[in-house]
Amino acid sequence: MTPMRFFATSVAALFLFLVLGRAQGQQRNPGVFAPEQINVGQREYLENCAGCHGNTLAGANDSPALAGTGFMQSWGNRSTKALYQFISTSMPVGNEGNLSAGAYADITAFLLSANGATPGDRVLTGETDVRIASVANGQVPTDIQKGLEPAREAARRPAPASRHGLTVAGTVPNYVPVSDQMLLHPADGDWLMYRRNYQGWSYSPLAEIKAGNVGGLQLKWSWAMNEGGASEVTPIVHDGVMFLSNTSNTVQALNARTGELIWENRIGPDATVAYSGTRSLALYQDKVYVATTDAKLYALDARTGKAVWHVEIAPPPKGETGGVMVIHGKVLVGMMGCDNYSTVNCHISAYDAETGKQDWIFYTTARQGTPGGDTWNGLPDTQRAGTDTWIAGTYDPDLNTTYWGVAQAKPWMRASRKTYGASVLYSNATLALDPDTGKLKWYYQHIQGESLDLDEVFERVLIDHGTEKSLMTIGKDGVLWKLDRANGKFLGAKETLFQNVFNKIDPKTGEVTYRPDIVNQKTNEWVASCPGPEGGHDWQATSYNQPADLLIIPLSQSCVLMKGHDVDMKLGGGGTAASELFYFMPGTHRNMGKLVAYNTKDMTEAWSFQQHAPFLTAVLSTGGGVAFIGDFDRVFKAVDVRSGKILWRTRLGNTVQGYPVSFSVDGKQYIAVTTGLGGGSPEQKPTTLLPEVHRSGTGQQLYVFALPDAG
Amino acid sequence: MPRIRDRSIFPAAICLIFAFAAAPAAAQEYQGDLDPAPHDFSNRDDVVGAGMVSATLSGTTLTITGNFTGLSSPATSAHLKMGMAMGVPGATIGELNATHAAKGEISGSVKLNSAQIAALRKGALYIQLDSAKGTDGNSWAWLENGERPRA
Repeated sequence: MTPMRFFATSVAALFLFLVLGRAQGQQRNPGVFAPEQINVGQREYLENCAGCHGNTLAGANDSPALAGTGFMQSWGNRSTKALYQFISTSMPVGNEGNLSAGAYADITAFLLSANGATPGDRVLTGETDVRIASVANGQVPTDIQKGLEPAREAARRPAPASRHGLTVAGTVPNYVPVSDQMLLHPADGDWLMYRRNYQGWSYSPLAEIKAGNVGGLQLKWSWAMNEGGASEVTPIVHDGVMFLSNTSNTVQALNARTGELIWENRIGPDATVAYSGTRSLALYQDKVYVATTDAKLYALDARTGKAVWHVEIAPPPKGETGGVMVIHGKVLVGMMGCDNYSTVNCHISAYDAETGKQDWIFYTTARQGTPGGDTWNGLPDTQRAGTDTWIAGTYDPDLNTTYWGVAQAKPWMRASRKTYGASVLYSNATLALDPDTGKLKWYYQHIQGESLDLDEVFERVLIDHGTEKSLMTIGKDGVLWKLDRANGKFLGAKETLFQNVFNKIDPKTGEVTYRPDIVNQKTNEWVASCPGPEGGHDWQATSYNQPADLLIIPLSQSCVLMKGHDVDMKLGGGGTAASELFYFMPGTHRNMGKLVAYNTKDMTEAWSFQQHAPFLTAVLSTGGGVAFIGDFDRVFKAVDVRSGKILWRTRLGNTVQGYPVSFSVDGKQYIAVTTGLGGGSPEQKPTTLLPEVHRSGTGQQLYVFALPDAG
Repeated sequence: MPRIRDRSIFPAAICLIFAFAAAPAAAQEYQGDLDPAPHDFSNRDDVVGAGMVSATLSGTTLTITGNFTGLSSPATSAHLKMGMAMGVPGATIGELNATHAAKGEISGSVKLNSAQIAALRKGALYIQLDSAKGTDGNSWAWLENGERPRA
C-alpha cells in the first residue's frame, strides 16, 4: 500500500468510525422502557400475538413481521405512541382493544426490545412518544431469532385445555368400507370428500328439498365445536355417520341423523394460530385421513377413531389446512406455512393409504436445476418461499390426472422478494399431475410473477360439454378461467367483477398485462389493488350445478393499498412482508358480497346479486334446484339455482363460515353448515370495513337442517 | 302504425336528432359515493361517514357538488384527484370547498386539460374529503358515468 493510499484509507476509516459511532450513539437514546417490561411483554406477546406473528416475530399470512428490517421500514419513522395506539386499538384480532393498558404497553416494550432497543429506568406507557428508529435498530436478539418457547394458552379464542388422543371411545356400528368405486360414484346420500365428487362440484343430487318447500326447513340438531383457530370445515358423511374436523386437530364421528357423538380423537396440537383449521378430511376403506396444522398426516380407524399411523409431511413450522384426497389407494396432501425462507420448499406429496409410506413428492416451488428452476431470478432454493397448496385437488379418472392450484410466491410483492419480472414457477399455476407417480403432465401459469397476494390456488372444477373436457377455476383477481384439462390449453377468461390490476388479458392465450405501476413497484411504496387479497374469489368454493349447467361463484368486493417491505434474505426471513390498508370497491355501494352464476359453456353471466356482507361459505347446490350459502353477518340462505331468487334465510349464532353439505339418512335429506371464526383476509377485511356488523367472540358450531318429518 | 301526415315535423325531428347527438359534448354527468378512505382496524372509527357527489363536465369545466354526513371529526378540505385508473389514488388536480363540520356540502369547479378529461372518462378521477382525524383522506368518491372502466 502506498503512503497516499494508506492516508486515504485511514481518513475513510476515521470518517466511518465517527459517522457510525454517532449513529450508534443516536440509537443508544436513554431506554424508554423498564427491563421488567421485556419479560412481561414477551409473555403477553406469546399469549396474544405469537399465534399470528410467530415465535420468531417473522410474521405469516396476513400478519406482518414485528422484528427486523420489515418492521423497521414500516415503523422506524413512527413513534412509540403510534405503535401503542395501533396495537391497543386493533389487536389481538378478534379481541381488539380488550387487553389492559399495561399489557399493551408491555407488549410495545417487548417489540422495541425485539428490535434492538435497550431498557432504561422509566416505564413505557401509552403516552411515551419517541421515534422508534431513535431507540431501535432492527437487530433481533438471538433467542428470538431461534424462536421463543410457545405459550400453552394462546390465541384470541383459546381452545379448551384437554388431553390429547382418543378422548371419547365408541364404535361406528355396521361401518361399510369406502371403496375406489364409491369415490368414483358416490351414493346420493353420501358426501365422501371435500367437494363431494372428484370433479369438485359441491353438488348433491338429492332433491327432496326444492324451491317450493325450502321455506319449511327446520333445525334438527346442532353441535358445539372447538373454539380457537380458524374453523372452515367440510363435514364428511358416509352411510349415516358424519366425520367432523374441528380446530385443534380434533376429529369426531357423529350420528348424522341424531347428532349423537360416537367417538372423538383430539390429535392436537391445540390451536394457537388464528389461521389454523382443517378444511376437510378424507375417507378410504376403513380409515379417516386428516392432515394436521403442524404438517402431519394421520390415519384414524373410521370405526373407532384410534390412530393407526401417522407421518410427518414436513418439519415445523410448515402446516396443512387444505385437506386431503385419496386416489388409487394413495393419500395426496398439499402444504402451507411456506411463508418464510427455509431449507424445505413447499410440495404436494402422496402416501400409501394402508401404511403411510411416502410414494412421491412434487415440489410446487421449481427448484434450482429442475424444470422451471430458472424462473426465480437466480435466487437460491432457500429464498424461494410460498407456492403453498392450501386447497385439496380434483381428479379426472378417464385422464388419470389430478389437478391442483398453487398459491403465490412469498413475500407477496415482487419488489420485496427480489424476483421482479421473473415468472416464479409454479406460483399461481394449475398443475396437472399423474396421481400414481407425481409426474407433472402440464401446467398453466395464470399470473406470471404475481405481486399482490392474488392467489390462483382455489378449486379446479372439472366440467364436460360433449367432447370438450374443461377445467374451470377462479382466483382472487376475480378472473374466471377455462382450460382444456387434457393439455392445459387456454380456452377462455372472464372478469366477474371490477378489477384494476390488469390492463389486458390476451383473449387467445390468457396472458395478463399488469398495470405499469405494479410492474415497476418498489418497496415502501403503496400500490393499489382492486380486488385485494380478500378476493374476488377466495377459499369459499363454487358449486357446479350440472342440471342447470351453471357455476355459482361467491365473490367479495374490496380493495387494498399494499406496501411491500424489504426483508432479511436469510433462513427464517421473508414472510408475506407487506402492510395493507382497506377500502370499498368503487361503484359497489359498500356491497362487499356478490353471488354470481355463469353458464359454463359460453361463460356468460346468468344472474347475480349483491349484498352488504361478504359470503363466508362455499356454495352448495342440489338436485332440487336450490343453492345454499352463508355470510359474514350470520345469515344462511337458500337461492333458486336458475334465477338467484332468495327462497329462504335464517340467522345463526355467528358468521356462517365453512363448506355446507347435503346428505341423507333413511331417505331424508339434510343440509349441514358450520359457523366459524378466524382466518385471513375474508375475515379481516369485513371486520375492518363493516364496523356495524357485531359478532360474538365465540360460536363455532355445526347446524343441521331438514324439512319437517311427515305426519 | 299510423303514417305521419304533417311534413313540417321532419325539420323539427332533424333538429332534435342533432340536439341529442350534440348533447353528450355539451354536458356529461358523473356521480360517486363517498366511502371511507383506505384504513386499517386501528383507525376505522376515524374515517367514518357517508355522502354522495355529482359532477358535470361542461366544455372543459368540471363542476362538483355533493354532501356528506356522519364524520367523526369536522371536514377540513376537499380535493379533486387523478389516479392511474379507477381505485388507484393519485395527485391533486384541483381544490374544492367543504363545510368545516361533520355534516355539510362539497362544491367547486375545476378546469380540466385533455389528459384529465380522458382520465375522467375512464373513471380515474375522484374526490377526497379530509377531516381533522382523517388527515390523509377521510372519504373517497370515484366519479362514474354508469359504465365500469378497467385499468
